Amino acid sequence: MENSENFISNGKYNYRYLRLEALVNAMIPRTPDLAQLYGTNMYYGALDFLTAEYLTMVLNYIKANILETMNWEERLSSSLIRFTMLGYYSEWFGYGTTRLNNPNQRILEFYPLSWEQVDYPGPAFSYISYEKEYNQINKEILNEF
Amino acid sequence: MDADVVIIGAGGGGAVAANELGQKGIKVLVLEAGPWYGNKKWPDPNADHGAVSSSSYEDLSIEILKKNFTDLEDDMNNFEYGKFRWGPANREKPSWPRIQGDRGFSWQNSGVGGSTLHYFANSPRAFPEAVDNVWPISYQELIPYYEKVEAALPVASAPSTPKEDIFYYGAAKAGWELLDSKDVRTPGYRPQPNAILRPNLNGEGTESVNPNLQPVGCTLRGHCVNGCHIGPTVEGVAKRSTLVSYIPRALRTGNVEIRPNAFVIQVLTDADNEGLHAAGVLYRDTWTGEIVEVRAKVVVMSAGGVESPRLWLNSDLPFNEWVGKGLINHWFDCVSGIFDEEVLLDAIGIGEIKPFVGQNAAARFDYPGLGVAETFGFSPGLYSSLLYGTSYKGNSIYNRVTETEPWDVEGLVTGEQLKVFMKDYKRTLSILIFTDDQVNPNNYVTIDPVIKDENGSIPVIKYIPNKIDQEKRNELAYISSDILRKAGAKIVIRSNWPPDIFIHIACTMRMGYVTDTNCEAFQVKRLFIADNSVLFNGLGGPNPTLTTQALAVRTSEKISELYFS
Ligand SMILES: Cc1cc2nc3c(=O)[nH]c(=O)nc-3n(C[C@H](O)[C@H](O)[C@H](O)COP(=O)(O)OP(=O)(O)OC[C@H]3O[C@@H](n4cnc5c(N)ncnc54)[C@H](O)[C@@H]3O)c2cc1C
Repeated sequence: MENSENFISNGKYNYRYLRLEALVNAMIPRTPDLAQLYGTNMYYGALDFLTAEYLTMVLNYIKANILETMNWEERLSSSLIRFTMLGYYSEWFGYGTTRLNNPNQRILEFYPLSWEQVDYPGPAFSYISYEKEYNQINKEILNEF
Repeated sequence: MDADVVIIGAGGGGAVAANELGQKGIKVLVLEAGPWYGNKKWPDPNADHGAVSSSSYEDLSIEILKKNFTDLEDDMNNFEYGKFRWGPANREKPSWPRIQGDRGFSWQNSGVGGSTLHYFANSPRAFPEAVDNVWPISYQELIPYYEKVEAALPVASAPSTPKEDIFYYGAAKAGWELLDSKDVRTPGYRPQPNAILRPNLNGEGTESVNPNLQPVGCTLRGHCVNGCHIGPTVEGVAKRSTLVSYIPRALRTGNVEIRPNAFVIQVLTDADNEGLHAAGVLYRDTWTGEIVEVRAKVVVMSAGGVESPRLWLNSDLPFNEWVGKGLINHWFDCVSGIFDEEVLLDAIGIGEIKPFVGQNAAARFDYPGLGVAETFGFSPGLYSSLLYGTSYKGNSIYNRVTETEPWDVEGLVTGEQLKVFMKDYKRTLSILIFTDDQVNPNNYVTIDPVIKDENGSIPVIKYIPNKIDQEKRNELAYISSDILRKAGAKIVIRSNWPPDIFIHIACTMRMGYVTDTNCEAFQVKRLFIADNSVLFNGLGGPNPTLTTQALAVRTSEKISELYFS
């Protein structure tokens, strides 16, 4: 499937792309107020992390799946919100220059800044040090009830 | 004859049947629509066709599995092109279409292991009251099969991490009892009975532990949903999807062959003095489009709650008004709490919950008559999209929460508010609700009269809960909010998911209506069903897979007795 179809070939600024940019911007805007409160990384939003490109790519998949007769616009309205969040908060932006490649050909070049915004450290090998047993909790925490 | 038994689908139910039949010396051919991860014959299963089939345990490769499963949620779980999607192995091709309610999605995947590849491995039994005097077989009759599967997977009590600690704290404070039986008859909370190998690093391990250690057992790293690959061998992987539990065991019998990339498009029948009976199948190679005929003495449908009825209908098998009808999905909801650091420190001695730490859903609350609530957490993409991006109540800014409602926010959360809430991701605890929804013939899977894809007429899924379902679900949302409040949450958010989110998909080919109590179709002899679709009801709310697997063991015994003794 040609992921870049529709915004590379037609140019970035076609109407549909602008609409998707408006949507992702409304969902996850730039937030200068939060930047003042919590630091500059909180400024950035979906426009900065190119979430509209992600949506375009996902839409191309969905369109290819949905046969002519199906009303795909309708089917998509709510999926778009879910996909906006998945695109923004998942690793996708970190594929960097390979982000629009076929999914088999992407390479994670860096951790996305959205992970910093939520303080997610990325995949880890083990969190075994957090382990407790229910009985232990029962003793330590719950015995007061 | 190409095999004694052909099994359609290598997921939660089909893999169990393959092993059980193989153990009895019966020759089994499993046809699976999706790819096979962690097998030397398919080193790059999403890019190349690879071999046709594998029947050797020696083909399994943990190195390849570790390469295939990347822990990254867009790569693994993207509904359209992720490795775990309902679609062909080749990710250059689109996913397979289904028609369903606008706001939802059906979260199933193709591949050896089926939807257990991404499942949380929670393996509770049905509530006895939902089975006894309701099902055509008794709870007592299920118990030995439960025990067998619980020992085989195996099922154990989940360890705890901060997200479970704080849940137990809230549940105890709210006055609920700790449950200590697998057979749940009264409400209460308990560590999750799950099919995840117990951690054995004895606390020595840290985030920076040497990955060459290859521990046996869970490391609590939180990637159950993205595909677990922790273990020294495929068979030793911590989360016991059927890919790593029943499939390796089946291969070791020497009697089981599995063909991935094989989408069954028709069940073939013959009619003789025995009446109408299954005789084989036609499948389509998902890479080449080639159609292949396979003949067998018995056919087992294990294609899942949507595809089994679809296949029946596409095969023009005899009319039965219950085929596809009675769909349950436990009408899920999600309620979450955001905590202050000091409150958490006070309660559990650590200031963060870290939804990405620990098994994805390791503590639960059961309430026979209402349903289930269980904790869940994972990495931030899926997490945000399920907590804040999934609702049928519209945007939360337009929803006024009334004084009697125990949550502060209801509906979609977007804009600056989303970023503020997600900033507290590490101090958020989420609870998933499964409603004890009722079987209703108006909820169904059928095929579209017009639209076809390369595998035949496509499925249409319709599910509208009734008032009683709604009331039960509301009550569970109140109880969950109360647990969060008692635990000290400062903000409680109810997502209020749409009814058409399909995660537990069951009861579309029910025992007693489509099949007899052996799970053999009334109208087509030698055609058996071993997946969620054959369940009589929603079990009262508990996660369905263990019961499907217990039944698959029982059905395999019946097949052997009836046709191979
Ligand atoms: C995120 C998530 C978490 C979950 N967690 C849990 C949990 O903790 N506990 C629990 O009990 N349940 C859980 N579930 C549900 C669980 O995945 C299912 O209950 C279980 O996998 C159902 O088994 P099945 O055999 O009915 O279907 P599946 O596991 O979906 O298997 C069906 C198989 O058949 C194949 N197939 C379909 N059609 C064809 C065809 N025509 N030809 C060939 N092959 C075909 C499919 O590719 C698939 O491999 C979860 C689900 C999700 C989405």
